[in-house]
Amino acid sequence: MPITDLQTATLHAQLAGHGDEHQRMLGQLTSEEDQDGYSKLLATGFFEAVDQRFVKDGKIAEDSAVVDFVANLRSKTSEVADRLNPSIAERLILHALGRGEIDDIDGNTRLSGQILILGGLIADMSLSEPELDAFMTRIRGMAEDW
Amino acid sequence: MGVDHPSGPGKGPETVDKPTTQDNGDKPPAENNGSSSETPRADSLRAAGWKLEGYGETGTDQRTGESSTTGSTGDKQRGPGDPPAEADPKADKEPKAGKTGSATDDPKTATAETSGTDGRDHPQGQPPGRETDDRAEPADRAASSAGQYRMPADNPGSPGQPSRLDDLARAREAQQQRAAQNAEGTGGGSGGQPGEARDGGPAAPQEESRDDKAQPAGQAETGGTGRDTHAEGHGEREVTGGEGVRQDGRPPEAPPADTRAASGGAPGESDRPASQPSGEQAGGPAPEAGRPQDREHPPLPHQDNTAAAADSGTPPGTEQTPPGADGQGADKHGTDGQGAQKQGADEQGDRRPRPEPSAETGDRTTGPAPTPPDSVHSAPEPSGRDAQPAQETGTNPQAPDGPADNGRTPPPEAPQPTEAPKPAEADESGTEQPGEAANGTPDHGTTGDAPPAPQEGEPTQPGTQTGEAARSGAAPDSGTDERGNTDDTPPAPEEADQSAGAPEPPGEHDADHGKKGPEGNSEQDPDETNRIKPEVPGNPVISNVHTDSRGQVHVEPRYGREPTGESGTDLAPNEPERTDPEDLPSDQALDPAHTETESEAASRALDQREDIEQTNLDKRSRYERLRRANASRASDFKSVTKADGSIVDAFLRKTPPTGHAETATAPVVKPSQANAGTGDAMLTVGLGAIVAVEGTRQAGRAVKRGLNRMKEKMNADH
Repeated sequence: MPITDLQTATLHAQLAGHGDEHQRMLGQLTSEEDQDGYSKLLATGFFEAVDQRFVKDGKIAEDSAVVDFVANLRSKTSEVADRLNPSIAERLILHALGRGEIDDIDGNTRLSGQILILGGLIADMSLSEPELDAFMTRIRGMAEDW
Repeated sequence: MGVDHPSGPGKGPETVDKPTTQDNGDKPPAENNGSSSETPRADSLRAAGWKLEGYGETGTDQRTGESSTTGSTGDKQRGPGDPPAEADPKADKEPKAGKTGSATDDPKTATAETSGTDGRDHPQGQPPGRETDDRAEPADRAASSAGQYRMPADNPGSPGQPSRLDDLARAREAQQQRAAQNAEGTGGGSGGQPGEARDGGPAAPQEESRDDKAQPAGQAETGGTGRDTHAEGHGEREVTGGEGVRQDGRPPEAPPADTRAASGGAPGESDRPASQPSGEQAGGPAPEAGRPQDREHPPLPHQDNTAAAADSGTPPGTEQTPPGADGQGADKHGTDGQGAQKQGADEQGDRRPRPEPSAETGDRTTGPAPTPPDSVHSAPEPSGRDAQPAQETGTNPQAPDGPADNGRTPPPEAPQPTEAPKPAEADESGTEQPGEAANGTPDHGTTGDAPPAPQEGEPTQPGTQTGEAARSGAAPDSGTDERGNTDDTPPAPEEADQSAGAPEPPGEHDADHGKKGPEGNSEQDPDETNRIKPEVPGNPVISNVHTDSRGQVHVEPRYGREPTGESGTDLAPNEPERTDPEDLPSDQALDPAHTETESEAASRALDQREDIEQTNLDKRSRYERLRRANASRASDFKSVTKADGSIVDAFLRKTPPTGHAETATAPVVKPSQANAGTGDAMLTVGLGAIVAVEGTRQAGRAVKRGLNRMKEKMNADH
């Protein structure tokens, strides 16, 4: 499934902190294909951001690192703490690292957790616009290959 | 040395002549010369006609007397080699006598004869020196008596040699005369051995042989191996019996001369030719005769002995027989062989430095002989000195004598020890023995004994054996066959010659080194020995094989081959053997370490592949995980994305920077008072009003004043 520019721009606006624009573009993803493509691109971004954060030199960080990350994320705002279940957040991260399974997690929870965790990983990376653009290009390719 | 050689031959003849002449009586010598031993010797004469002649010249005198005995024996054995008709008849007569003598095995006579030959007699009772002296004496006598054989003197094949031969003949004659005198005088002193030897060499041989055996090594060496001992015997002779021999003026040389005389003039040549002819291997003599060196050598005393052997084969052989009568080669059919051997021994003495070839030759000669132990023993002992010629000729004669020798079991033992200690000598002895046997069939025993004695006490036995063989050869009756066997071993004329050459080098006669014959023989010997007897330890390893760093395989002759020609040839043939390095596996391939590295590399590659596979699996698993993560599609996609999007926008929104700019600003001038006070305005307005009022008043006043003034003026004007 090809990843459209709209899907990519929508995610790019969100990760760039342009809430208004993101909301506006998100409203444009009305078709299931766009929504599936956007979900696929979002999941790919999630896995890639997890690898960059928890996998260094081929070594996967310990669970404690995941736990710490989730805790820090939830401490940013009360709204995040309310919307992000730490166990689910950790399982999603560990699953991305190849540990554990998330089959018992519903789609809405997975999607909400991926959005929040991806937002928190990108906020911690403090990516510049070019870096963000490269990241988006890479995950788009991965999503397209998937 | 030339002089020495002459003296040597003189000695040779003495020894040989004495036994032969004495033993056989004057009859045998002449007969012996041409006769018995001659057949092979005749061949040798033919083939080496030069030699014969030359020998005749040089050794004729000696031979005439001496060689008769030896020749007789040799002739008998060699009956076929009759070419020298003269010698043959004589030989027939004498050989028989000699044989009879041998058969009789009068030890005393034999001893006397042997002693006459090479000091083989010595071994018996008398010290080697005396024996040698005695021998020399009889030999001389024989030679003198053998003057008949001067015929061979005419023969001197080699033109250049005659002069020497003549000289030698003269010297020999003188020596012989002296020896004869001495023999007479000393012979009695020696214990009648000389006399016995003169009388009937035959008896002497046994006793001598026995005595030789019994005698200690020293004696045995001196007397026993007359041939081998040539050097020794001569030395002893010089010392003890130097009288007769030394009359020549050169005692040491004289002994060899005696031997030579016995051998018949040109020892070297005669020996070789004798060996060849005696060897009955026609091929043998011709090559020898062809050798100029051998011709030259004849003058050498040792050669005389050998020559006696050779002569025994031929006319000189007859002369040798007399010396053989002395007990030495001549008497012993070895005459040919012996004479040659003796000569060879003399030469060998010179050659001894080349013990190896002799040993080889000896081995060769003995090699074939081995079947009959006696012959074997005899072979080593006699061959030692008489070397090849003796072997050849001697072998034939010995063959018949062999049995007699066999009868003399002890001798074989003696030779064994001798051989064992001195392979070369043994070889020589082997050659000598035949020669001796040929020379003085009767004497042979003595001579045979004598030769072994010089080598080692026992050699006498071989000598006896050989002597016996020679005897048998003379008297074809007995062991001709047996010895023939032994002799057969030498039969190869070339081999025998070579072997003779070999024995010569081992020949303990260092003085004879100059002799060419032995040298040439010696040279040939190694190869021959190698060929003939691979068993010979001399050349166990033919070539060395080694691979270069290049991987090429080189085969190089290690021993026995001449370095130049052979090496080149070897290299050439070896070249094809060379294998290209390309064909060969590389060193790395062969290197185990390298192989290990390869295995490691392979393992590494496998690891890499595994890693790749793992990565691939990881990727697959990752995609799968993604799929699973996104498997369940969110029912509330918009609400979730909108709500969570607003939350993410909150902490992802970029806030403007706060605080002052820390960069420097431009200078700013500020009013001292920024805010004016209300009290200050009131004051200012009051002050202004005061100022205006006052000003107005003042102006009003001024106006008034002016008006006043005008009025006044007007008034005033008015």
